[in-house]
Amino acid sequence: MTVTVLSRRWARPGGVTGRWRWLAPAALAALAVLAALGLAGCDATRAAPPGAAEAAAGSPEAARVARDATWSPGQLQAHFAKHGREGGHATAQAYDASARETIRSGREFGYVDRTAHARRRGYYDPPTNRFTSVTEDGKRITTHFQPDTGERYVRGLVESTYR
Amino acid sequence: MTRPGGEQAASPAPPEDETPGAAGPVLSGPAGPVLARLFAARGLPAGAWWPFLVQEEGKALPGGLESLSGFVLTRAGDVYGWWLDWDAGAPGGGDYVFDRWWPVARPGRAFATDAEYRRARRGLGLA
Repeated sequence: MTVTVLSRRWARPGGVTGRWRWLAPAALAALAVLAALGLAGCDATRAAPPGAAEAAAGSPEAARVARDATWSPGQLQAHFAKHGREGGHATAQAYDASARETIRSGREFGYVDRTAHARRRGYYDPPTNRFTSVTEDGKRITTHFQPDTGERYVRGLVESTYR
Repeated sequence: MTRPGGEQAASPAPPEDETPGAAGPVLSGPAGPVLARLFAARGLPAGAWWPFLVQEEGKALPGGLESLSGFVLTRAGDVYGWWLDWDAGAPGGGDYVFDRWWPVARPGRAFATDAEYRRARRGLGLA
């Protein structure tokens, strides 16, 4: 829009005196360069975080949790040993990646742990029947598995908000 | 008694079961006595432990409970990770067991930012 306004101003008869007329193409060229740099900068920012393309499927908050949440000490190894075979994950790294992908692509809901009454955030992906749970503040991944009863499992969690 | 909704930062007073020096955490349902028995078998009597980051693990065990994972803070400040599962070979046709039990090194650092760990410390009067 700025380019258009400037172009009209310089195109108007008498709008710009002859000795300044050389400025028009220079200003337009500078604006074009700035615009190109700006677009390139935006693309670079989008490309920076790993998994950003997948994050588009969920909320920015889910993308943040998927990127930043950690397993508590020993929990990734324990969970991989217990649940790794369900999804055919060959390594703990693959299992961890599946947990994070579920956060990015799944439906987010809330529930309360039945035993200790701690609030949890759940992410369930119906097409793959994958479930990941994190702490209420999204800092810790607490589990990742494929429920035997699918959606019925996440609906049946205490105070589940899954719809 | 049910703990009302986890962390309630705006609450003017801590829930009764989070009072420092309280006898112990409130665990509801049939898992509570089972966990208490298994903690006692590990040398942790009632009132000397507080579980945190407890998580249902989706596997229905023969005894009726769902498999669970979590950590437990002891009055000495130690933390152990555990996994509740089922030992089919136990006397009487099977029993619950911690089939994984591991100590956590430097728990104060490992769980420094965990709200549930801080709550457990308050619960045991360690904060």
